[in-house]
Amino acid sequence: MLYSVMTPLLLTLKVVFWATLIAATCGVVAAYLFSRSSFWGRDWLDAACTLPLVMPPTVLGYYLIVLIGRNGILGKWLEEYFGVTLMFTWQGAVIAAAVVSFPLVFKSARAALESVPDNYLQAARIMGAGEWEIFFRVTLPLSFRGVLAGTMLAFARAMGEFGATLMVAGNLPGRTQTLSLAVYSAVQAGDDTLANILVCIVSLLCVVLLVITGKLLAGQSIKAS
Amino acid sequence: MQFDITIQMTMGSVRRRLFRPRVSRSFTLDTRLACDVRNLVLAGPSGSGKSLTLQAVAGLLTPDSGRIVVGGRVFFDSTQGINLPPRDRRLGYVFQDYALFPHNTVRENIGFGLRRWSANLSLEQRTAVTEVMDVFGIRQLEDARPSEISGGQRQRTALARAIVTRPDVLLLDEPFSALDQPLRVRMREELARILAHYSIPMILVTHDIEEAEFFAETVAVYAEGGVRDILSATDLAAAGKSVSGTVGNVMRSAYGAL
Repeated sequence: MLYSVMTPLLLTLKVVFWATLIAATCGVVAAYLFSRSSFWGRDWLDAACTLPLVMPPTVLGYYLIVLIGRNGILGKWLEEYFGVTLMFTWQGAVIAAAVVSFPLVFKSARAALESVPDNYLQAARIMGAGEWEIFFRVTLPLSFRGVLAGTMLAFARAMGEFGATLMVAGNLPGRTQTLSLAVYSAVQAGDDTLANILVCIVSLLCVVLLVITGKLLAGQSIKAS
Repeated sequence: MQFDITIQMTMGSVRRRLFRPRVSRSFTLDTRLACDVRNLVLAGPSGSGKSLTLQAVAGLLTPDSGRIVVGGRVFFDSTQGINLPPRDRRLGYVFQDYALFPHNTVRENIGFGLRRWSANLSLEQRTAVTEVMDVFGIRQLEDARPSEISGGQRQRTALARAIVTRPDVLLLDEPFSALDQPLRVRMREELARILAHYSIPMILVTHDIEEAEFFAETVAVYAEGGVRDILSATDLAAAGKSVSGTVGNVMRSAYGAL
């Protein structure tokens, strides 16, 4: 019993950690590029970045298979030159979860970055700061709440990820079976005890996550001047 | 300080409709301004283009064409393709709303421009910050955030932040407009004294006739997107005219012209 609880739990934490890290980094970078520049096709790229939020996870999973599957556009190349296979591995689950949760960071980070008044950036520019310095010393501290809120949502979304993960990584106990997949399998197998324990763990994790987020955001209150 | 400013610029707000962009509300600025003074005042009614001129000098806006030379350094020259980025222009700038960083303390705000990438200043830089806080009488507020101090104190902080890096020129965009009348009078006297002490030249943008009269050394009076008149105190004095009176009269007629 301990094994069938701890294995999916540890795997989930590992997958969610990497997925959130990837989604947060890419989301903030993309949001920054969008908030700073205008280029042709910007609206379309914006829609593409938000697509994973509205598309059914299974459809997304199918696209991922087309992309990183063994015969996929990217997957073939990865296997040929690096000997790396992503299908049915925990790394595949990371990619599925990251793609699904990316729009959550992207959306809230972009709103937060764009809400930083231009005046602050211009003041910093005149005082000699470079664009990167401005980002880390002015823009990011001032939009920290939005970025953090988005990251927490992404974390939660990655933990709950089911459809795309199932398509890309499968449901292999001990290898790619995350908590939400394990709950499904336990219910299917009629193992109510295991299902109960897993559900309690997931619920507890979510509550803890919400409390931590609330505390972090409260400690970071910046009053506008 | 030599100022040689020639700018042509058309501003329009581009409103994007579903597929076709639509330009509306355009404003044309055409300015020619050359003088050699310590204090240059750009005065005129709101919407006459004086703030745009200041922003172009700071590099916050790029003119369509023209040439901006300050103190012998070419900031912008459309024919030679020169456009110095704001960070290399060695300017101090005080925004109308001060633009103090809300997440930084007064001390951190003032020290921002002294050190790249870090808030940890050297002993020498810390002393410089302390000194300028003493000059503006805001030393006791060093750990306060902008939201916790009064409008006048914010303005002193913004001025201190702009001066501490010892800029070649200080640019002020209606710096006193958010203050009440008695404070406004006191602050401009204080500012004149401090700038003279550090010998920093300035360009001041104002729509206030009294303020223009007070700082009058050379006043460029703006109206409808261009310089209408350039009044030099020395010329006026040589012609036996009252400096502040003439500035006031020309400004009043510029207001009337609208």
